[in-house]
Amino acid sequence: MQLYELSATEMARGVRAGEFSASEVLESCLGRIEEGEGALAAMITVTAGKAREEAALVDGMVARGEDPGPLAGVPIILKDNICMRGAPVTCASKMLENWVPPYDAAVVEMAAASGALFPGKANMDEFAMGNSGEFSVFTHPSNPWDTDRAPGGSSGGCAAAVAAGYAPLALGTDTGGSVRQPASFCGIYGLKPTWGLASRRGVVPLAPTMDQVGPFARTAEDLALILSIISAPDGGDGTCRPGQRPDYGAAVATPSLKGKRVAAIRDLEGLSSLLDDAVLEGLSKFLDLCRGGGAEIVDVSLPVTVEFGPPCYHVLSRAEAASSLARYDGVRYGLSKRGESLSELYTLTRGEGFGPESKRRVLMGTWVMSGANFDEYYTAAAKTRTLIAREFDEAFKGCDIIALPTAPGPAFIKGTQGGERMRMANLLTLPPNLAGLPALSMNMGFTGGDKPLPVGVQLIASRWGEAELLNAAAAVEKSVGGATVASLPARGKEGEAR
Amino acid sequence: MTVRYVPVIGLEIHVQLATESKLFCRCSADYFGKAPNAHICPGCMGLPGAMPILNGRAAELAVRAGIALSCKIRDRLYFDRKHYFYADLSKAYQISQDGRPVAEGGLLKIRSDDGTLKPVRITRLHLEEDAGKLVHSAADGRLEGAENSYADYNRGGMALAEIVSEPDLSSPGEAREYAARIRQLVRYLAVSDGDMEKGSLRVDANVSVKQVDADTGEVLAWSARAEVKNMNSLRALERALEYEIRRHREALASGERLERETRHWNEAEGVT
Repeated sequence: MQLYELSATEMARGVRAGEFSASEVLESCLGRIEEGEGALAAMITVTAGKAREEAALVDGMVARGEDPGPLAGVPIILKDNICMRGAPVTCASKMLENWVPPYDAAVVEMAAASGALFPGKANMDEFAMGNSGEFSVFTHPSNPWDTDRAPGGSSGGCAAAVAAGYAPLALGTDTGGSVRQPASFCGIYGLKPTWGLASRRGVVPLAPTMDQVGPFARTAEDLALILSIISAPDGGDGTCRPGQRPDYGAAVATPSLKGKRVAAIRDLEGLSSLLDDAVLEGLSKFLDLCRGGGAEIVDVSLPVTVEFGPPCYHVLSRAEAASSLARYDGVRYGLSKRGESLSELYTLTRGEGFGPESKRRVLMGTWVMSGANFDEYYTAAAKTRTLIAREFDEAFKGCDIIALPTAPGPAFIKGTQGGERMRMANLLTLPPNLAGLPALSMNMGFTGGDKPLPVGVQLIASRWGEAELLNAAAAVEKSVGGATVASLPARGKEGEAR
Repeated sequence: MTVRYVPVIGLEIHVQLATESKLFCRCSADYFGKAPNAHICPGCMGLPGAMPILNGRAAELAVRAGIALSCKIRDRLYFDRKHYFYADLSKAYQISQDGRPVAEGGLLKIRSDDGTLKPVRITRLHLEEDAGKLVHSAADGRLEGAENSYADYNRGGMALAEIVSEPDLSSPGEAREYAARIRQLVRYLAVSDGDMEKGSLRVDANVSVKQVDADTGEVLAWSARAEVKNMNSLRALERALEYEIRRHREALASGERLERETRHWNEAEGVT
C-alpha cells in the first residue's frame, strides 16, 4: 500500500505518531499528481515547493514533540476559486489568470493551522459555472474512471484529484451541485454544508446566497474530520453562523440508523424515465441498506420544489452571478485591456476576459434584474425560494433524511454536456442550495460494462443537520466500504496541466 | 390672467457618518487629505473573496439621526446592491438600502421665509457606502481635455447616511434653512462633522417650478424636474437654486420644454 492511498485520518495519525513523515506523504501524493496529470488535467497550478515547506514545518514540529494538529501532514487540494497566498486564484478564467490574492481563505487558514499541506489548485468550470469542467478556459479535466468522460462540475478537478489519489481531501464550492455532482461522477464523497456553516471569506463568490465551501473525501470519517476543521465560526464572514458546532467525529465513530426515518421523494417517480437504471438501483440499494440498519423508509412530497426549483434557481443564480462578476472591469486587478475610453476599457476587458458561459450568465442575470423584469422574474423567484424552503421544513417534520439520486446518470462523455438527460442534473442537486440545506453525495456502486462508472446517491438533511448526514453515510459505508482510489491510465494522453 | 411661479424643491443630503472606520471594512475613515489609495484594503477595493462586515457604529449613528428626525426605525437592517459601472466604484455596485431603509417617515420643522414654523416631511434616511474619486490630469482638473484619469479609493466605502426630504420646500431660502437645520442636527448629535467644504455633508437638490393661475390657484404647467449637484456651501445651494428656478420660470414663460436632467453648479460662473 502506498502512502497516497491512505485516508486523511490514517495519514494524520501516522504523521503524529512518527510512523512516517509529512514529507513522505507529500512526495507520495506529488508523485501521483505527476503520474496522473497528463491524462487527467485535474490541476491548474501545482504548488509543490510551497507544500514541501509546509511539510517540513509539520515534520519539525513532530520532531520537537509538538502536535501539528488533526490534519498533520494531510495534503488538501483546493478548487481554484479558493484563495491561497502565493498562487494565482484563476477561477479557470483569463480574467484572473495571473492574479495572486494577498490572503488565504478562512478555510485555508483553518486547515493550515491544523497541519494540512496545500499541493495545488484544481481545475474547474470558469467562475464555478458548469457541470463538466469543460468551461475551464485552460484545459478540460478528465474522469479518472474513464478519461473519455468528464469528472463533472464545476469542482471537477477536485473530484478527479481525490478519486485518483492526488490527495485524500479537497475543498470545492457548491452553488447548485458543484461538489455533489462531481463527487458522484468520480465515486467519492462530497458534502455541501448548510449555508452559513463554513466561512466563505476568501472564496471567490458566484451566487452568494447559495455558495458554500464543501469538502471531498474517500471515507465518511475523513469527511467528518475536514468538516470539523473548516466549519469553525469566522467573524470575517458576516453570514457565518457563530457558536458551537456539533461533534462531527462522534457522528461517524458509532453510526447507527436505528429509528431514523429516511424518505424518498414521491414526486420524482414520474421522472424515473429520465434517470439511468444504475442510478435508480443505487438509490434502492441505499434504501435497502438503511432498512437493514433499522431505519424506517417513508416518503415525502415536494411538489413546489420539483416543479419550480429549476426556474427559480436559474433566475436567482444568474442574477447573482451577474452581480458577482461585475467587479471584473480591468480597472484595479486582473486582466486589463487599455481602451480609448472607460467604456472601451470595460468592453475590451470583459469581452476578452470572460468565456462563453460567463457571458451568457451575465447577460441573463442582467436581463432578469432590468426594469420591469425585476419583479416579474427576480422577485417572483425570490418568493418561490421561500416556498421551497418552507416545503422542506414541512417535509423534515416527517423524516430525518431525504434520499435521492445525485445525478441522472453516471459521468458523461466529454464534449457532450450529457445531452438531454443531464439538463435535469440541476433539478436533483439545486434544491438544497435554494433552501440552504446540507446535502451529501456518496458512492453507491458502479455501472456494468468494461469501464464501470461510479454512481452516487444524495442525502439531504434539515438545516445544521450535517451530523445526521455523516451518521447515515458512515453507517451505510460499513456495508459498502469507502471509496477506492481509481487506477491511472497510461501516461501521456490528453492535454497537459498548465 | 396673472400667473404665479411656485418652486417645488426636495433635498437629498448625504452625511458622512463620524465613524472611525468605513461602513463595511476596518479602513480608517480619517482619509481626508491623505495620499491617494493610502486608506484601502481588500474589502473596499472589492478584491475577489473579500466580504463586507457591517460597522455597527454606523448603524447606531444612522438610527440616532433617524430618531431625531422623528422617523420610524426599522428593527432589522436590509441592504441592497445598486449596480453601475464606473471606475471609482470598486465592486461595480454600491451597497445601499433601497426597498427597506433604516428610517423613514420623519419630520423636521424649519423657520420659513415669512418667519412661521414649517414642517418638512422626511421621506427616508438610509445607510450606504460612498464611492472613490477620479482625478483627471488636465490642467484644470476637469474631465474635458483630460488625457489620463487616476482613481483614488480612499473615500470608497465610507459610511454615509442619505436623508431624503419630500418636495416640501418652496424657496431657495427655505432649502438653505432646511439644510442648515440638518447640518446643525447631525453636528449636535455627533453623527457627522457636517463639513460641506470637505464633502462630509453634500446636498443635491431636486427642483421644478409650477405655473399657477394666481386667481383660481389652478396649476397650469410644471417644468421638468432637474437634479442639481456640486454645491459645497449653503450659500452655493441658495445661489444654485435661485439660478435654476429662474431658468425654469423663463422656460415656462416662453413655453420652452425642459428635459429632465442632472446639472452641476459652477460656483465660479454662477451657472448650472
